[in-house]
Order: sequence, then C-alpha cells, then structure tokens
Amino acid sequence: MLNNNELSMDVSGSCNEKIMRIYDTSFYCTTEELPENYLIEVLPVNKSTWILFHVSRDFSLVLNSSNLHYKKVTEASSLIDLPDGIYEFKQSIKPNIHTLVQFYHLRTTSLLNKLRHSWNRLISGKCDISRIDFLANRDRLREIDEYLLAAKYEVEECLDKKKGKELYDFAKKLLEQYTNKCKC
Amino acid sequence: MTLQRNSSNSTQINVNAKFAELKYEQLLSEKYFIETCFSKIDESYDNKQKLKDMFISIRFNTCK
Repeated sequence: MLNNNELSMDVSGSCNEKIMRIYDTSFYCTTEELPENYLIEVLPVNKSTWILFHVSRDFSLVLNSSNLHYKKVTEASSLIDLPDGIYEFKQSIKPNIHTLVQFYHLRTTSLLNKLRHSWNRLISGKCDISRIDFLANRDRLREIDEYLLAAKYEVEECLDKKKGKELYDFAKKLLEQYTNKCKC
Repeated sequence: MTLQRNSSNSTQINVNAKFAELKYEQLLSEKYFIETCFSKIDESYDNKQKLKDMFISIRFNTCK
C-alpha cells in the first residue's frame, strides 16, 4: 500500500516571526486509502532533539516556540519569535523506514522583515537623501535581498548548509552596515 | 532515507543553484573588501551582470 506515493512538504512564506506553517504537498497515488502513521519530525535551530508530530493527509501544521520546545506557554500572546536559521524536517508514512524523506528549510523571516522595513523606509521618502544616495541605497538593499535568496537556494536546493549559513551571515552583516552607516 | 530538494522543477533547481553558486563566489570576492556602505575596490562586474539577469529570470520564472 502507498508505495508509489511521493512525499513532500513546503513552508509557508509568512512574515509572522512567531509561527511557521508547514503543509502537505505530497502526491498520493490513491484517493481512497489514508496514509497510516503519518509522521513529521522537526529539528529546530539550536536544538539537538527531533520533535515528533502526528499528522494526516493534506496536513497544515503551525509550528511555534511552544510546540517546538523553545518555551512552553499556554497563551498565544506569550509566544516568542522563532529564530532564523536551518530547520530540518523528516516526513514519513507507514512503513516509515522505507518512505522517510528529509528536507532543509532556511528560515529568514526576521532578517527579511528588517530588510523590508529598510526598503519601505527608503521608498517612502522618509530618508532625507539625494537622488544619487537613494539609488545607491536601493542597490545595496537589492544586493542584500539577493544574498538572502541565494542563502535559501544553497540550503534548500543545493543542500549545502555551510555555504547557505555563510551567505545568510553576510547578508545580515551588510544590513547592519546599511542600518548603521548609510544615513537612512 | 532520501534528502529532498525543496523544489520539484529540475530546470528551476538548476537556475537557482547556479544563482546561489555565483552569489557565493561574489561573497568570497567581496567579503574582505567591504568598507563603509559597501564601497568596493576596483573589480570586474561580469558576474554581477550575470546575476542581475538570472535574478530577473528566477523572479519571473521564465528561464528555459
């Protein structure tokens, strides 16, 4: 049963720093049988223990700082931001050992929000700068966005965590430099 | 266990991977020369121009 299914999942591109929504994008060869023992395992940033979730076909699962064991809380208002970095996922159905697939996800939400803030500030005309400086700043922010995108591709598609992390750290450094020194 | 790439389109994966590799090369060439507001030592812009073109292709998903 279900041997011809193709398991896959994706991460929703939300700006919300407190949550991460993952959802099922698998291909199922039958519409009648439900996958058994459908498991999602998550290894969050800076953690050494995999966290297990039981899901069902076409799942949509919202991860947060509480269910990822960063800080257990009982109210949504007490959730803390999920850190940027590499999250690893395992997805499997019965017989799990034979269907297990693993994915990397580089979360960039926090840095992307900071970049978006800088971009909006520049575009809105709040920075009292010349046209030449405006164009130079615009190019700097575009450059940072490219580094962030490359970091995601390096981790998620080239599966090179080290290079991806290096690209992310470089983008972060450039944005700090932009914030501190570029008069906007 | 299989380690999966996140995109299912192989053409798109190739373009994305090339983009990431070129950007990483750019990082290596730039990381020691960054000064105030990214001012750069004299350099060739060949890779940069290639990246701009690829970036647009990726954004609009029109690469062959």
